[in-house]
Amino acid sequence: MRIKSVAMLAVAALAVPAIAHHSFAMFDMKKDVTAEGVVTDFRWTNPHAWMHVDMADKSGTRANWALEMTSPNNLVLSGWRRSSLKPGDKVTVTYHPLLNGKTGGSLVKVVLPDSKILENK
Amino acid sequence: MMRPGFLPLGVMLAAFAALPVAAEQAAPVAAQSEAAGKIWPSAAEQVSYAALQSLPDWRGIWLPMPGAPKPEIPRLIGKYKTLYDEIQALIKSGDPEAQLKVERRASACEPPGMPGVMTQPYDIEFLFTPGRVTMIQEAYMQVRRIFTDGRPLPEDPDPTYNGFSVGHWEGSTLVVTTVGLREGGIMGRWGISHSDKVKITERIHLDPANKDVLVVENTFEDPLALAAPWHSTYLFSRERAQDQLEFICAQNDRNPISDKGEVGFIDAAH
Repeated sequence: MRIKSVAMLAVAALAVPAIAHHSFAMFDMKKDVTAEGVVTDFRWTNPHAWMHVDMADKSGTRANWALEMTSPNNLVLSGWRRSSLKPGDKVTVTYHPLLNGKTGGSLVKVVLPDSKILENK
Repeated sequence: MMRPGFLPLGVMLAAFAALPVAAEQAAPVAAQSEAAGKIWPSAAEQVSYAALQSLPDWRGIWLPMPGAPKPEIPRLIGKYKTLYDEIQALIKSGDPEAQLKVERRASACEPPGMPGVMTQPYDIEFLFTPGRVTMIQEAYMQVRRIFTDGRPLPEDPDPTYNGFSVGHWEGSTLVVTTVGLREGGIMGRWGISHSDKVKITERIHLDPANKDVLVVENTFEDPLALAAPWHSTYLFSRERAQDQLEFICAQNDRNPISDKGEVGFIDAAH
């Protein structure tokens, strides 16, 4: 746990072995996309926590997106709990999109209904 | 009743743990027939915990920390150099499609094995019991067993992810020798791989200037992959206020790796 920021830098460079589960080469790590959506699922699981969000892409097409986070082991240090998200929550998410254009990404941060911000680190 | 002239095993164990061993002493190697079926002190019926009191305090969890000296470029040879050059070319290309092919594991849940078990972006912890040091890596809950009870290295070990490790204390430094690793394991950065003949020697100690920093100095020797020994150093910082957490990779692994080595992403529709 606990050193996501170091790990992210490392995987972005793809030069240091600070990767536990997989590299982040599949994401556009230089691009941040922000969108509003409604949570449909929150998986507090290893090796990654996941949130599923109904939201529109840039063309306005709505879809269910999968946003990957680091592990619960890391997230608890950033204030996350297994109860942080629940289906129906209206949230604003920022994520690094998949390079292949599919409806998924690596979460950067989420703004909760009470305006609290949780970061994926 | 103890026979005259024989020390109780517990006393012998205490002597083992406390005894300084000559620097750079090579770990002996045992014939399989010699080692098979023998009860070594770490599991013997008679035990003393007294010797543990003299060992350094490595309790708490240890987080990988930056600042270690950058390792030299390894002098790889043969197919190991070929693979390294190929991986480096993929990385330097900057092409996202190429970079997806850098990973060579069969599964994203496959642990890296030694020495990658030491460089995960998660913490490690150490447990001392008589004649043995156990290290637990939080990521995938990987375990290393380091026998300090005087047993030799096996002559012909089955290759495994974390190998077979024996160690001894030189003062407050734990010197660990590991053999029996799998062909093709990664020694450090992507593409630096080793053969099943690799031998890793670690000198693990607290930083004399800061007892909350743990230093791991590695020496890699591999007659098939390296033209000369290769060295690296890992640093860890102590955290006493937290414990390790469970990590079951199979719980929700949604990043399959294809037979082409490409990392996948299973989206919400699945």
